[in-house]
Amino acid sequence: MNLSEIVWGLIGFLLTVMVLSYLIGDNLFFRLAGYLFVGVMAGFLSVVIIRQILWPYLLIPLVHGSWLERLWALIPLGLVILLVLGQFKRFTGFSRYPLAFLGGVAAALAIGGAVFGTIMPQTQAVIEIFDPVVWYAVPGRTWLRIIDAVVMLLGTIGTLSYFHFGRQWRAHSNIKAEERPFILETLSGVGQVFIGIALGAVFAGLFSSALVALIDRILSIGQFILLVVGAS
Amino acid sequence: MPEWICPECGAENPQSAERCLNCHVIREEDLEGDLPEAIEPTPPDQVNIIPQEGQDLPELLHSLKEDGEKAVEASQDEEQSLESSSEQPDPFEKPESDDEIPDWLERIRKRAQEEGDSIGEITQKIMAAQESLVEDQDAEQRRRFETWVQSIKSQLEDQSGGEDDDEDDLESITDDTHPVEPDWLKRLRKAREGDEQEGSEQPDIQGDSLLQWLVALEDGDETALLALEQIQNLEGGVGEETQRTSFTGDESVSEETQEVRIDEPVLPAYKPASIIVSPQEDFHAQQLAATIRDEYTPIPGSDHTRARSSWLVRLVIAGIMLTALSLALFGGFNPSAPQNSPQPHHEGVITWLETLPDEPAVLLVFDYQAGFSGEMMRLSRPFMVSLQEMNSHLTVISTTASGVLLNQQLLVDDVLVEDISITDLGYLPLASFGAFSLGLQNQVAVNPAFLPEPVMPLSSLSFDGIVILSGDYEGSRGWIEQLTALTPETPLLLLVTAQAGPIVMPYWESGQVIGLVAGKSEALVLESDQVEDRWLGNRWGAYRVGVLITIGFIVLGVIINDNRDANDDSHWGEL
Repeated sequence: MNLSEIVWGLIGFLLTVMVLSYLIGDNLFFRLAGYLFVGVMAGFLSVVIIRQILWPYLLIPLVHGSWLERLWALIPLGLVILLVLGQFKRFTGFSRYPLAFLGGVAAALAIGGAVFGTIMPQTQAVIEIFDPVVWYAVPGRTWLRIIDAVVMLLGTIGTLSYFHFGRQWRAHSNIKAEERPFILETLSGVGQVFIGIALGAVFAGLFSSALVALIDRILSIGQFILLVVGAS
Repeated sequence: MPEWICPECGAENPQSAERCLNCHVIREEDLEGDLPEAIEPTPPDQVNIIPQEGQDLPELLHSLKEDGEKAVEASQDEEQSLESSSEQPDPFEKPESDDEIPDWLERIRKRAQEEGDSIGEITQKIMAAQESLVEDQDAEQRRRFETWVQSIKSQLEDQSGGEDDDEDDLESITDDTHPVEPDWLKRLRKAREGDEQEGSEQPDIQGDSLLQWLVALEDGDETALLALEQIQNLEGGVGEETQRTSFTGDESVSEETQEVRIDEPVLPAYKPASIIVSPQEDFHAQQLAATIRDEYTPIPGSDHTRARSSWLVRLVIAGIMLTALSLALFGGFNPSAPQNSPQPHHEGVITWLETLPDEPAVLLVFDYQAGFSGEMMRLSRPFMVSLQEMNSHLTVISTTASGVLLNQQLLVDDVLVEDISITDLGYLPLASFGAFSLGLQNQVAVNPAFLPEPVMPLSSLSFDGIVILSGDYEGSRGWIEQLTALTPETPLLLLVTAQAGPIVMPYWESGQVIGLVAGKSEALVLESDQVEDRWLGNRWGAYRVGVLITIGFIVLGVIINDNRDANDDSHWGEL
């Protein structure tokens, strides 16, 4: 066991104890550990961005690239300069242009991805599951396929109904504004069941992840202690 | 058109003529100065009988008294002037001494006395008309005065007779004398009768003058106050409800406080304005009301007193958990891992691994934070061991900053991948951007010549499969959406944490992802099927203990919470 393993093991042990000290409430050690993690993460992120993004994709083409590559590299360089100038009060408006460019590209990607990567494939999946060919693909499990399809359809419609907040306006109706139609209300109740199951599964998964992380930490600390005790 | 009359012949001449057109006598300009002066208006200070500084009641009465005396003197003067004016037959004649009478006028008067027809015809007509007018005015004034005196006498007789008769007689008399009796007079009489029945001494107000009544009011006389009350009733309208207020006179005069009943003026009944509300506006109003109701509805979870738990309880629970896990890990508790059969989404991963060619090209996307490194290492270890055995060519890309270090930790330090090619594409800040650029470059057949070549040769790569190692739902969704839209032919596999598993499951149901492994429990199935080294199974015991303890704490918390709710309900019920 070398010195570096002892030092880093000791640091890991202390930081783990400092984080676990939150069990007795917010205290200086917990906050110190939090500040340390945030600071280290920010510094590491800056180094990674400079080393893996700015240097290979911006600075190298500007210094060693051809004239065409340099011209192309001037576009992101100009956006970077505008973004930096926006930090000064006198040039605050300059940062709007690179941010608008980023926002527009992000919105285009998000909308395109949601439509072509989620809505259409998921809708198609719900439709295809009612294909009789799929039902009879596996002999002896036809009824299971049908039930699976019905449950999936019911869950989809129920969940969508639960999030249906619109109201149909009728001029001469006695239905109050806060009351939903009976069908929507019923389907919404069904949707609540599915949403509850989904959230329960997410909670179980979250707990499982946290438990695994805790087990790893305990194992790491225990091994460090055993190592130190065994070495001594 | 104004004209002037010749004093000699009495002929009428135009105003512009300097001589008489009949007798050619020169017009006397001095005649204008002898005409009577116009009556000057009364100065404003004489009209204002109320003094400006002291407008209180005593000064008002004093001024009224003085004005009354002045009025008497003025009336005497007027009578004297009327008598003097009536003695003058000639309207042009002025009360002047004989010395001041001009010669021409003296001649005219003398001639008029001597000769009856010496006065002109027009002048005679004017004089006759004026005499008849004065006579008519005197007769009219005399007639009005007599009528007024008679009416006063008749009223006095009626009132004196009404006091002796009963009520019915009074009504009949008043009906006869005043066919339309005003309402205010009825109320005034009724109030007066009520006071008489109470036995209070009440002098005859109507017999007093206004001046006397004001003096009595100043002295705080009850009768005057009662009359004032009646006048107020008449002015403000007779209300049913009365307000009793204290009317305090001048403290220097009297310290007594007298209660005066002042009727409140009757306000018109409130009528709400008629608002026309359309059905759509009513609908919006109902929606707003429902929103406000929801906003103010108490949320059960928002009770801060419930969330306030003792740190001692938390410490005990954490101590139990840590102790149990430590015992499970280091106390030799090593139960056998469950031998579950692979699920369909597991079978997709197994099938993909089995069908890979030799030395396959696989892209590994690291999209998880350092906090999930333990779980991701555990669940991806069997997968990585299988790829190592196939001598795969791995390309690594990170969409989190920590992914740069985590891929080295996973591939080099933990799995100990040796003798395989690893290409690190580095860090791409956003998952969607990276996935889009990767999918687009794979999709575009011809790279435009004017674009600079990327530093990393992404476009030249074609993968046998893309494996996404993600810690949360958002990162994996970005990759799935972009890659399934741009490169649907490339097999896509997911290795995600347990918390992201349920949410990304629909992507496997829809066929966008051919295989999915979520969490440690599912990785255990893959491990038992793929590798002989049961590294993951060694921690299964601690994991199972931790799950059991957590379930126990949740059940215990629910029971305690229910008991607390019941106690709170009974407590409130007692209140």
